[in-house]
Amino acid sequence: MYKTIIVDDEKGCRDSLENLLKEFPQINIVAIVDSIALAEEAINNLQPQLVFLDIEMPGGTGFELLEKISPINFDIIFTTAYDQYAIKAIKYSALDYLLKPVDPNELTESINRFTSKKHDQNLINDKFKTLLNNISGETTHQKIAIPDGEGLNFIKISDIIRFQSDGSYTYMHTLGHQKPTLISKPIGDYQEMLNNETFVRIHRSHLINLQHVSKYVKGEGGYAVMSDDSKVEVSRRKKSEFIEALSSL
Amino acid sequence: MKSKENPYLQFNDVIEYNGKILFVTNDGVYQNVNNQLKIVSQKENLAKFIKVNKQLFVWSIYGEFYELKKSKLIPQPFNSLVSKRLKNKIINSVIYNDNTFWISTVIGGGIIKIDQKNEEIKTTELQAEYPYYVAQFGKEFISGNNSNPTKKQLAISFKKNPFYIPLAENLSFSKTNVLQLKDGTFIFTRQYEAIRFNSTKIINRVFIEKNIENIYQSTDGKVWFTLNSGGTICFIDGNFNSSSSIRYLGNKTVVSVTEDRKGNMWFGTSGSGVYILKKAIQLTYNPPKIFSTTNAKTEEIESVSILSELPTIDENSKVLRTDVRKNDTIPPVVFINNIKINGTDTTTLNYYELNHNENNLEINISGVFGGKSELQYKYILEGKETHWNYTTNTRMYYTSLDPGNYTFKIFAMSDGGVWSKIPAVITFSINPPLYTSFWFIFSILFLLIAIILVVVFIGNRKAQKRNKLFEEEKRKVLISELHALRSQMNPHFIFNTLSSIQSFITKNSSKDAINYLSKFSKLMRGTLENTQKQKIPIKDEIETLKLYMDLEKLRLNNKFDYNIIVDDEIDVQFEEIPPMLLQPYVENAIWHGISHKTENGTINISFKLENENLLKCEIEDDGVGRKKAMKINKNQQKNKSFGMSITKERLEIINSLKNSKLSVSIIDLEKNKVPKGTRIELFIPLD
Repeated sequence: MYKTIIVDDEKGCRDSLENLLKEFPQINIVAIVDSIALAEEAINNLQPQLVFLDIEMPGGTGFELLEKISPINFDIIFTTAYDQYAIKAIKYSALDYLLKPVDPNELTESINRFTSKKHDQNLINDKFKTLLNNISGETTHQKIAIPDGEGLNFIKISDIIRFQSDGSYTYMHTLGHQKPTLISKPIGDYQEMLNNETFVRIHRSHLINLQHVSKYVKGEGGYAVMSDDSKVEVSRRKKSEFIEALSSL
Repeated sequence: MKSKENPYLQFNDVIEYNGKILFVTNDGVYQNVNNQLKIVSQKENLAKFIKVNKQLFVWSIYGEFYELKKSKLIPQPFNSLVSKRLKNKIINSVIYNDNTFWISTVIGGGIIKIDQKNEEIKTTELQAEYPYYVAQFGKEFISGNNSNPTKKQLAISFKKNPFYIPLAENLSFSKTNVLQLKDGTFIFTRQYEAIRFNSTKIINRVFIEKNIENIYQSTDGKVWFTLNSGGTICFIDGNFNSSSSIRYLGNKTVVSVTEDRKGNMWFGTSGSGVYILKKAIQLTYNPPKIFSTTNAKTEEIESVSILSELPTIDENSKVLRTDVRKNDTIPPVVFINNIKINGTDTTTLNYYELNHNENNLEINISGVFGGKSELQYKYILEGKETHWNYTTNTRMYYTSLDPGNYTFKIFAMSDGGVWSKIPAVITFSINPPLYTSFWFIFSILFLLIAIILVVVFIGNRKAQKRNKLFEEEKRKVLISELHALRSQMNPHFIFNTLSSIQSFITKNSSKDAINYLSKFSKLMRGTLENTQKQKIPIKDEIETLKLYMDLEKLRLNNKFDYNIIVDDEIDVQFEEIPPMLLQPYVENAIWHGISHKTENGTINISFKLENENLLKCEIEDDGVGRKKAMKINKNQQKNKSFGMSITKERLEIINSLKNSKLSVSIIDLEKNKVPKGTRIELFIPLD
């Protein structure tokens, strides 16, 4: 049984989530609150293991709550109706979220993820640190959680030079590292995730950070020379898109 | 010697009077004092001195006479009367003889006689109708007239024996000089021509290359011509032997000349000061000096001897010489002997065509004449020269001729003044060098074209820039239109879907309600997000289509099934297409194809790579077909498919935006001539 708190300012959302969670016997809702102030109090008093936290609330965002509570020794599943910026930040931090109205299937997946993973305080701290960094910090300091064999690495996005696909795996080349990091996720995941950043999928196998393009050599598609002197082929079809993106940088 | 006050004095006359050297200048009378010019009396338009007994007079070109007395110019009482008779004509010459001034004018019109003794002034014709000069020779005086100005001849009229002298050029009114030499012969000069004659005939004739300003015979018998822009030329005697001539004063314009008692020659110039040529005291060579008052520096001029031993011919001298020839009436004949081009002999032709570097010509001519005397020639190179040249030389040189067409003409003239009837003529053309004619013009043309191209290019660039701006604007408008079109897509779908979900709630089937609601919210979210992008991965489009069809299935009570088939070749995350492109066709297939069908239907959607760059999407339904659908729609008075017309516009906009060739074709499917549905083929370029 996991002590769970629901934080949402809208009654409909609270009720809906409460109803949906009835399907999960391992979830024990200990409090349902409608403001950050109450949430802080509830968390401090009840010491939950899981909090469903709405991001947009009149008294302040869900993120502000995180700043008030230290250490955060519980898991959070963010809920939001529509907030691209927040979702991006959450994704980068490898935290979980649900879109409202909540899809029961997605809720199930989230609960499963929560129950199946080991509680690692350090990892949670890192994730929230990254989240808060991404929310408050400048774009250049944004970080993204990259899983490796042992856990998560939080990498500055501006340090990422490029991704190169290798089947369903992806190699990530970063600044200051000669050896690329092998990620057990397809390159499309990062294309999707870094969609709004300065990354362009210039080739079926390549997702590159435009900030690290030092030169473009013309050709049928041509190739980009990156800041680590690596040459990356540009697909003929992506040439114009690439050049356009490069010039609007 | 120059005047400090007025360095550009014209020294019209010079005379020695009571041991003083006096000058008539355009500024008045000047005097030489210790090689300094000092003004005696100022007066304009003074022309010459004239000695009358022991008095010295000065006259002006407008007929004013002054006696120079004690450094003062005393006007004569008859001045106003003379001026009246002159009627603004300019005086050519004045002589004094028999107590009378005889005045001739440059343009003729009679001699004005001023009789001092009887105090009367008359205009007299004096043996000739239009006298334009008058000169005194001993006790006699002569006048010349121009009875017919168009004739090249001059009437010389002594008191008793008039005769005619043929002239080289037509008479025009110009300055003349007449001088009697010590041997009794006369010299008449006019322009560049000097003729020596006595009272019965012409003795000889000479052409000088410059107009003769004045003539003078010094006590040693030498004859001096002062020339316009030619300095002065000295002949040993009146025979004008060119081998015994010598020149001084370069190309200065010397207008007056006189000799002082010591035998020094004085020359007055026009604007170049006064020069003195000192007589050698001993019988040895003594170079003459020029002195100038403006600076103490003396200037050496060409060596000179006033001794019997004369220097050899001056190369620069173009003085010509003729000897007397009596009864010269037969015209000489002139022909061209030989032409040397760049120093090489050539076959003599009438016409030459020469290269640009064959431009140094030496023409040798011969004149044939009955007598032994040397012929004179006049020649011209048309194309280069505009005036005739006079010479006794039989070689003419032309160097460094410019490209062009030339005609060389030469006439010969005997001493008697008879010109050859026809000239010897050669024509030649010197072609311009290749570089001027071809390369030069070519490069100029090239340059011009280049400039024009640059200008056009810049213009184009500007136009392009303008175009680009315009395109950018257009693009923005199109993009906004595109957004508008997309957001119009869903209203009746939205509300009908919501109605369907409502029906689950009313039926207490909350699971279905929740399920479809989350599908609906996902579709809304997807639509919202996708339509903000120009392109989305195929994966996302498929996702949206699935949600859409699921919801439509719900509305139509599972009336159809759908299959979505994607070629393995296609990387659905990597390949991107414009968002929400297929949805209207799917909507059409559902509502116009399958909904009218009595039994259940199927929609098959497939994505294939037509080629590397072209994606082919097929949306096939097994509905009633377009014809029947239209008929039904007409009967039901339904609006035509909203989404379809929007899609057509969208396709056009996308095509013009992306300059791509997105195309669609609609195929009516039949089986045994019975409509079996519709297939939409959508070709989407992948770039």
